[in-house]
Amino acid sequence: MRDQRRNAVRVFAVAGAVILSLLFTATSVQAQHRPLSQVLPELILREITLNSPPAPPGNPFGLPAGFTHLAHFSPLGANELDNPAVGVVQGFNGQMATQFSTFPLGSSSGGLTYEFDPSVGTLRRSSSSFGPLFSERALTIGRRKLSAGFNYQRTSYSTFEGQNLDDGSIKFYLPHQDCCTVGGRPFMQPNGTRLNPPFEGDLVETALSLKATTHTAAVFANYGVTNHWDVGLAIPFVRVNLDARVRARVLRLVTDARTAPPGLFTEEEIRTILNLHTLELDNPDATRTVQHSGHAAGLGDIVLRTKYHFLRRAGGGLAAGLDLRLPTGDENELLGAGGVQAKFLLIASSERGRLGQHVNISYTVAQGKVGGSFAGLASAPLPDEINYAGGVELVASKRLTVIGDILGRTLRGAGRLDLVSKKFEYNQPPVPGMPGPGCAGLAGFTCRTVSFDEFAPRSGDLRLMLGTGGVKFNLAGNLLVSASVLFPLTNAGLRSRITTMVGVDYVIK
Amino acid sequence: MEAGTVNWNRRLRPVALATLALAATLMLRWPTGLAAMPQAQAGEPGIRDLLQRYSAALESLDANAVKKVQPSIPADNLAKAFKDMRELKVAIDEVRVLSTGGGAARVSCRVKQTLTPKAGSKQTTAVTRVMRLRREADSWVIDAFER
Repeated sequence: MRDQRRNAVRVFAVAGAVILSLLFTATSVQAQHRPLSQVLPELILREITLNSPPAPPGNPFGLPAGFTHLAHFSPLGANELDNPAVGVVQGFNGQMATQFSTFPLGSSSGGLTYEFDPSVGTLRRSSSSFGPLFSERALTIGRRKLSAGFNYQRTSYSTFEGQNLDDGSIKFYLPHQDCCTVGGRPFMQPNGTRLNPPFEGDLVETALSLKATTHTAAVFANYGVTNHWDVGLAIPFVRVNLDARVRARVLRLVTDARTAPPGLFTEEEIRTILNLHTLELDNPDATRTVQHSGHAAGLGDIVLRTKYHFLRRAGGGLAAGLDLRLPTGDENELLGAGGVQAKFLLIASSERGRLGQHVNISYTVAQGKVGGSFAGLASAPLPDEINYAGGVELVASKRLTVIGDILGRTLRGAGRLDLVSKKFEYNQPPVPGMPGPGCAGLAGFTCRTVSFDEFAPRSGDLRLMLGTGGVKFNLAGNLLVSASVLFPLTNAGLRSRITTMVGVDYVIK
Repeated sequence: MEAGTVNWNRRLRPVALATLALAATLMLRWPTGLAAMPQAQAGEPGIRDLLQRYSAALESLDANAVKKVQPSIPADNLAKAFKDMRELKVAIDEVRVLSTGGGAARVSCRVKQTLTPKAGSKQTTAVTRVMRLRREADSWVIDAFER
């Protein structure tokens, strides 16, 4: 008994050390603190500013002295919240925030439990299997039994909607601020595909490279109130590391005066025109990279759990459960979901010989808003979820169970971002021999189009599916050690690389 | 005075008759109880022997041995339970014979088991069980558990 307690103390000392190291290990770069949910909007929508010189007095374009285009491709800088790029980035950021903070946590299924079986008159293992890893089985731990443990999992993300996150594949296109009307009427299309004003209809292309990693150490406990009723809780401590870089370049659709017919502009006029929209003075092809590396660490969303085993069958039966996820994690730092989630579960499990099976079907009711709001814009509501899980447990030996699971989530109304070829109309400046008409019949210009691939938000459900594989091993006494991997089975939304999870589970009494 | 005596006798007669009737009733019932007690007392060593054989069979982790003591037990299920065990210690106490007669008995006892499993730590349980016994040849066997 004393040895058991000593082992338990050791286990939790290790858990404590892992949690403390998560919370207090410094990252390499953190120039200034900025909530992690604000990083992408700030980088993409505010920090890409031009380096255009102020217009000199008496300039040939009739601009007021000191006028500059500095923030004209910066929707937040120009306070232009109806800029279509804002909606695209908002959708992207909201989905990132939602999926970051609601990634599945490992479960505690009371792996090593014995119960008195009146039919044979002796104690027997409730199940030969040690139970699933990321889902639940119907069995409960048993009256007055207490188990505790902790899991550590590391997740990094590789793609978003099939696009690589960390190589600049994901691009956002920023149109010029819609400063002016043409002919007394709005010229820009509501979806931003007709660039305005006609003489400044360039685009700034921003290419995102994002490295995102989460470390989660969850302490959990499970107590059998009766032989059929468990209550429990899981307390996660989360650390999120984010390293974002945005590389910008000006796509000169209308201001590339170098391509104008010879003699149309003087050298000085060409220089002035090129410097209207430039990221580096007198370097019209310059690129600019803005970046932010930061981390956040702290308490995640605490989960209160209860399960009632209402139909008992050998090695399983049916159970109903409730997981209540409380908004204790800071959603602005991507540590929490930003609202309350109540997950109602129906659990079925059985065991035959060396093979156990389990199926979970659940519905999650959510109330709250995800992190990632910016510039006073409302963030997306935390979506309800339909969850399902199914898997098998193979009892390889008395001390080893091999587990495989499929976990499905449907985030209701979370929306999708589809990569579409977006066509932009722009007005080529007057060129002799290439008469109009310009876009929307604008006289003196020639209407041209150019297409780029960019995400476009659409309404609908986001369906995610993960596969898991792992083992639970009875190291000694009542101590179970588990190791598993989680891997995505779909390309939808934010796709993780292989997630690794290790954990221990200890039945105290 | 005589008349008074007669009256007195008349008054006593119903009481005497009632007393006689009660005594007769008690006389009729008393031999049954007396008969039962010796039977139970005679059966108790046999019952204790059965309980000892039952605990020894459980401790041997041999389902067939348990089946000899409790023929109705699902031996396959018990064998599966034994497969997970390294050692089982069984102690039976607080034995009370609830009834006996006609080759059957009801017995209440507390069964304390300490299990050393192949996976996991020692588990202890103590359960009060009520068992129905029946006599087979010259010994008792467990017919069933009521609880």
